Amino acid sequence: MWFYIARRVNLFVFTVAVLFLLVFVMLNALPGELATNLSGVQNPTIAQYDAIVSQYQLDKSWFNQYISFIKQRIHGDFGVSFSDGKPIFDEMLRLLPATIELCIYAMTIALLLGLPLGIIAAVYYKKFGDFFLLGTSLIGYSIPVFWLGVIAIMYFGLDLQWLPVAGQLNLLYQVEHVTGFTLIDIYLSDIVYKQLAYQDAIAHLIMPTLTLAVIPATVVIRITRTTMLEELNANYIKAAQARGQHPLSVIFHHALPNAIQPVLSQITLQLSTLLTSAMVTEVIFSWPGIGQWLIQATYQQNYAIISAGVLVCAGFVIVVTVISDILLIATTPRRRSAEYGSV
Amino acid sequence: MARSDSIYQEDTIPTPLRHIWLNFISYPVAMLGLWVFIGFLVITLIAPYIAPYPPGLQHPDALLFPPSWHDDGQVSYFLGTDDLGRDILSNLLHGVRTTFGSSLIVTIFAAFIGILLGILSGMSRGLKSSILNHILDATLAIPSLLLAIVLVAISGQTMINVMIAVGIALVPQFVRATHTAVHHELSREYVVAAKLDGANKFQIFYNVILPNVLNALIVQFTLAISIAIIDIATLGFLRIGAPASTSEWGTMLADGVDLIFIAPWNVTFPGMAIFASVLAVNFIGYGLQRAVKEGLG
Amino acid sequence: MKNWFIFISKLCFLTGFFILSGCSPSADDNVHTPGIVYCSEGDPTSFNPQLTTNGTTTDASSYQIYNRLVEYDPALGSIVAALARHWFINEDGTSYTFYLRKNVKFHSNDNFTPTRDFNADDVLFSFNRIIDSTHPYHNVSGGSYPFFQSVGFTDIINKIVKVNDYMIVIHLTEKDASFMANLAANFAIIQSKEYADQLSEQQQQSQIDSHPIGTGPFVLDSYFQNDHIRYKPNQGYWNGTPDIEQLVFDITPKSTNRIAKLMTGDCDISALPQSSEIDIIRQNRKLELQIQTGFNVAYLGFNTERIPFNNPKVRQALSHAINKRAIVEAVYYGSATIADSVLPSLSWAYNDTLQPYEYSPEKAKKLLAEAGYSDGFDMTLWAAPVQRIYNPNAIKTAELIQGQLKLVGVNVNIVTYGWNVFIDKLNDYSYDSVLMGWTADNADPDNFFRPLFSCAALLSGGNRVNWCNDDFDETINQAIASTDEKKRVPYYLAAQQTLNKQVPLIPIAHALRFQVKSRNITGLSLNPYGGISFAKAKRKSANVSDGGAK
Repeated sequence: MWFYIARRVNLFVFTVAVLFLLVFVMLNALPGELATNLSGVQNPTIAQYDAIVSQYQLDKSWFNQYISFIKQRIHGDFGVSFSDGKPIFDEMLRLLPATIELCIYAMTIALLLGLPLGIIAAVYYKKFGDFFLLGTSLIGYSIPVFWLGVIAIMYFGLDLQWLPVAGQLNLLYQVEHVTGFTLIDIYLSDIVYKQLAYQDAIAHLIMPTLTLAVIPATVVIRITRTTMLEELNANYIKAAQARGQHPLSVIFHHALPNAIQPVLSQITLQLSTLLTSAMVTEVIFSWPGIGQWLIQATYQQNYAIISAGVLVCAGFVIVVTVISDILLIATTPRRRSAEYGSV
Repeated sequence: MARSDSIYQEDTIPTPLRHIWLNFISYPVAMLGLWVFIGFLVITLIAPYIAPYPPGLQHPDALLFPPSWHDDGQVSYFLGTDDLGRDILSNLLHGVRTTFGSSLIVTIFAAFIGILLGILSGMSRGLKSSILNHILDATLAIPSLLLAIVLVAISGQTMINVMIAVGIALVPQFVRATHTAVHHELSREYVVAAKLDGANKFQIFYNVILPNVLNALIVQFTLAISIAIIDIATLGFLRIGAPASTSEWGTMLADGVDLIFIAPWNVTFPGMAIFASVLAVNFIGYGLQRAVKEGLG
Repeated sequence: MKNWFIFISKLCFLTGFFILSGCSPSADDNVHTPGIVYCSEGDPTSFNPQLTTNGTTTDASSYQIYNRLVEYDPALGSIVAALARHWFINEDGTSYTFYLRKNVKFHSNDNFTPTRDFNADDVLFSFNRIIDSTHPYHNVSGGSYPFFQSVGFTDIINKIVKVNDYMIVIHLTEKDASFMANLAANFAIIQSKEYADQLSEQQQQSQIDSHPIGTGPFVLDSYFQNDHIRYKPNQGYWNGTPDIEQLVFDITPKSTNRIAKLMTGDCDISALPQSSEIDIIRQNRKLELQIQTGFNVAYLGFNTERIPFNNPKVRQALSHAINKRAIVEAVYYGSATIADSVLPSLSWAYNDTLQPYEYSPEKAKKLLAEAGYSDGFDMTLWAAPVQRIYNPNAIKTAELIQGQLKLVGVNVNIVTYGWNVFIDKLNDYSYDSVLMGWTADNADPDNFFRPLFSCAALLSGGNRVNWCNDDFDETINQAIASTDEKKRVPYYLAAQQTLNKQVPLIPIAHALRFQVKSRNITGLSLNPYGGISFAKAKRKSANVSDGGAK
C-alpha cells in the first residue's frame, strides 16, 4: 500500500516536472519577449528587465532557466497581468472557486442523473429502456456545449424570461468575496436580503450548471451501464440470483457497490474534458471563472496568463487524478496489482 | 432443392474485420450514422458545385432573409441569409469542407503520428516507455482546448494553423489508446509463443499484434473525428479559430449569436450541422464498439 | 416573431432541461438595495480620463468620480458652472479668470482622507500635470494626454496663475475659440493635489489614476477587471448627494448579453445596444430606448505613408468602391446617416457643396488602372472586435468592405486584436488601413479636425491616417483664431474640400447614439459628446406591471 503510494507520488512529481517543461517550451515559442511572457511585465524598464533576468536566470543555460521557472511558480509567483499589473496568482485564486463551484454542481447533477439511468439501462439490457437511454446519451453527448448554452439562453432567458442568463449574482447584492463559492459567501455575508440573494444566486446557477452537466451525465450513463453490465454478468451475481434474492437487492447490495468505484475512477479521467466544457460554458454565461478569464486573456494576447492557466488547470487535473487514484487503491486492494495508474 | 456445384458444404469463416462489418451493418442506428457520414463526405468533395453561391458572397439586397418556408423567405436563399446577406445554405455547404473535411484530415494525420508513436512506445519497455508515458500524462492533463489555444497563439490565426493545433491536441489520445492496446497485447500467451518461434519485433507486431489492436484503433479513430469537429467548431465559436468571415460552422454560430433576437436561424442551422455531423460519427463509433464487442463475444 | 425556430430549438432542448428547471423565481423584483446596475461594454483602461480618449474609460470615471471647472449642459446646449462658480474672459480672449466654488470636499478612501476643501492648488495641479513635462506627475501614467495633445493644450496655455485660493487666471498664447469647450470636455477633470502629495510621500504615485480621488457624485468602492466596478454615493456632494445607495458597472462586452441581462433584470441600463436589437427593445414594455443624435463619425482610414495609399488616386478609387449605403443598412440597420464629410451635417460648419464619391466599381477600377493598379493589390484592414458609439460592429463593417473591394480586385485581409492591444499596435502604424471613428468631445467643429488630422495629432495617436499636410494645418489653425462663427466657416469649408479631394480617410457614417434602460429608472443624463452621468438617477419604487412583458 505505502509502496504504491510512494510510487504514485514519485510518478506525480515526474509528470508535473514534464508539465513544467512543456509550459516552459511553450513560453519560449510564444510570440513576444521571453522576459515579458515569464513575468507579465510589459515594456519593462531597464531596472525591471535586469530584475527579471536575474529572477529567472535568463543569462544562464536553458536548464537553469527551467529550474528557476519552476522555483518561481512553486512559490506562487506567476508574474503579473499585462493589463492591470495585479499578481496573476491572486487573480487565479479569486477566480478558481467560481469554476470549481460550477464543475462540482454540474458533476453532482451528472452523477445524480447518470448513475440511476445507467443502472436502469444495464438492467433493461437490450430492451427498449436500454435503447432509449443509450440513444439519448449519444445524442446528448453529440450536442456541442456552446450551441446548447446559446439555445438555453434563447429559450429560457430571452423567450420565457424565467432565468437570468449571465453572471453569478445580481451585482446589487454586495456579497463579500470570502471563499469564492457564491452560496457559501452569501451565508457568510451580513446582507439584509439573504433569502432573496440565495434565490437569485440559485437562479443564476441553474442554466450554466445544467448546460455543463449534460455531457458528463451522458458519459456517466454509459460508463455506469458498461460497468454494471460486467458486474451483473459476474458469477457472484448469478449466485445471489440463484439464492433467490430480490432483484433490487441484488442490484443495490451486490452489483452497485462493486460497480461504483470503477465508475468514479473513470469519471476522474473526464476531468480535463469537463474543464474544457466549463471554459466554454463560462464564456457563454459570462460566469466569472477562470475559463472566461483565460479566453479574455487570449483576446488580449496575454501569454503570462495563458501559460499560468495551462499550468494550473493541468496541475489541478493531475492532482485530482492522483488523489482519486490513491483513494481508489486504499479502498480497493485488488486494484493494487494493476500495472500502474496513470493520469 | 438447388444443386450445389460443390459437394462439401462451404463454411467460410469471415475475417475478424469482416465479422465486425457484418455485425456493424445489422445496427440500423449505426448504418444511419454511416449514411449521413457518407453524405457529408460527398458534400465535402463537391461542395463548390452544389452550393448555390460562392463562399462569403454578400447580397446587399437580401439581408436577414428568413428560410424559404417562412412567409418572408425566398427560395433562392433556401435557409435564409445572415446580416451581410450571405446565403446560409451555401455557407453551411462550404462549411462542410472547412469544419467536417478538415476534421477528417486532421484526424487522419493525428492518427498516423499518434499510432506510430503509440506502437513505438507500446513495443518498447523500461525507461523509454516510461519517459513517453510521463510526457503523455502531462499533455493529456492539459485541457485540449487550452492546448489548441496556445498552439494557435504560437503559430497565428489561420485555418491551417487551427487544424495543426487541433491535430496536435489529438495526438496524445491516439498515443495513449495505441500504447495501452499494444502493451496489453504484449503480455498475451500467443505473443510469447510467436516470440519463442523466433519472430522479430516487426513480425510480432505486424502478424500478431496489429490484427488484435486494429479494432480499438478504429473506435478511437471515430471518437477522434467527433472530438476534432467539436474542437474546430469551439475554437471558431470563441473566435480564436478559423479567421473571421470563413465559412466555418463554429464561426457562423458565433456570428449568429449577435443576431439571436432577430434572426435565430443563424444560430439554429450551424448548430444543427455540427450536431448532425458529430452525432453521425458517434453513431458509427457506437456501432463499431458494439460490433467489436459482439464479434469477440 | 420567428417563433418557428424557437419552437424547433425548444423541441431539441426540452428533453434535457424540462425535468430540472421547474419553476424558479424571476429575478426582476425591485427588492434588493436601492441601487442601479449599468451594463457597460468594457473595462476602463484607468480611472483618469485625462489619459485617454477611450469612451469606456470616460463613462466609468469622468462624470461619476470627477468634476470639471465648467460643464456642458446637454439640455441647455451651453456651458454651465461646475467647480468654477463663474468666469470672465478678457477682451482679446487670451485670459480666462475663474472664481472657484467653496466648500467642495474631495472623496476619501482607505488610504486618504482630505484635510482641506477643493481649492486653486488642485486646479493648478491637474492642468500643470498635463502641460508641464517636468511636473512630477507628468510621466506617472505614461505621460500621454491624447486629447490635450491633439488640441494643442500645451502650446495654447501660456501660464496658469493662482490669484488666491479661490481664483485662478489662465493666460493663453493666442485666442482659441474652442478653449472653453475643451475645458468642459470629458477629459478636463480636476484631481486632488493633497492626495497626490500624500502618494508621492508613500512612493505610490500611480495610484492617483488607479485609486482615484475626485469631487464627483460617486466614490469608487471596488473594481474587478472584466467583472464589475462598484461606486458608493459621495455623501455631501456639492451638487446634492445622489439618490441611489450604490452604482454598479456590470462589465458585459457582448451586446446580446447586455440586452439579456436587461430583460432578466440583472441590469437597469445598458450601453450601446446593437442596432439590430432596437426592434426587440421597442417591443419590450419594461424597457425604454433613448436616442441621441451623435456627434461622431465612423471612417475607413488609410495609412497615407504606405504604398499604394500614398497615392491620392488609389484612395479616391477606393472611395468609389465602397458602398456606404449597404454598410449603413447592414451594420447600423438604418440607425445612422451616410457620411459625406467627417463633420455631421448638423454642424454649423458643414460643407453641403461637397461632391460625394458615388458608389461605382467601374470608376474605381478606372482610377486604379490610372494609378497603375489595374490588377488590384493586397491590403490589410484593421478592425477592433468591440462596439463603439460610432460603429456598432467594426468586424462586420470590415467583412462588408472586404466583399466590396473584392469586386474591384483589391484583396482585403482583416486583422483584429483585443481593444487594448489594438490601440497599442495602432501606434506603430503597421497597418494599411484601419476602421476607426471619432466621437466629438464638444460641439465645436474644431474637434473633428485638429484631433484627427493635425500634425500634432500624429504624436498623440489621434491621427490614424498618418497624414501631415502643412497647408491643411494652417487652415484649421486659422479657423480657431476667431470666436466669430461667420469668420470661421470659410476655413472649415475649405478644410472639408481638401479632405474630400485628398481622401486620407473615407467617412462612412454618423451613428445615432442609443441607450436602453428599464422604465423605472429616471433622471439619467446622456451627453451627446459621450459620457453618461448617474448623479441624478433614481429608481422608481412603483412596480412595473408584468402583464405581457414581451
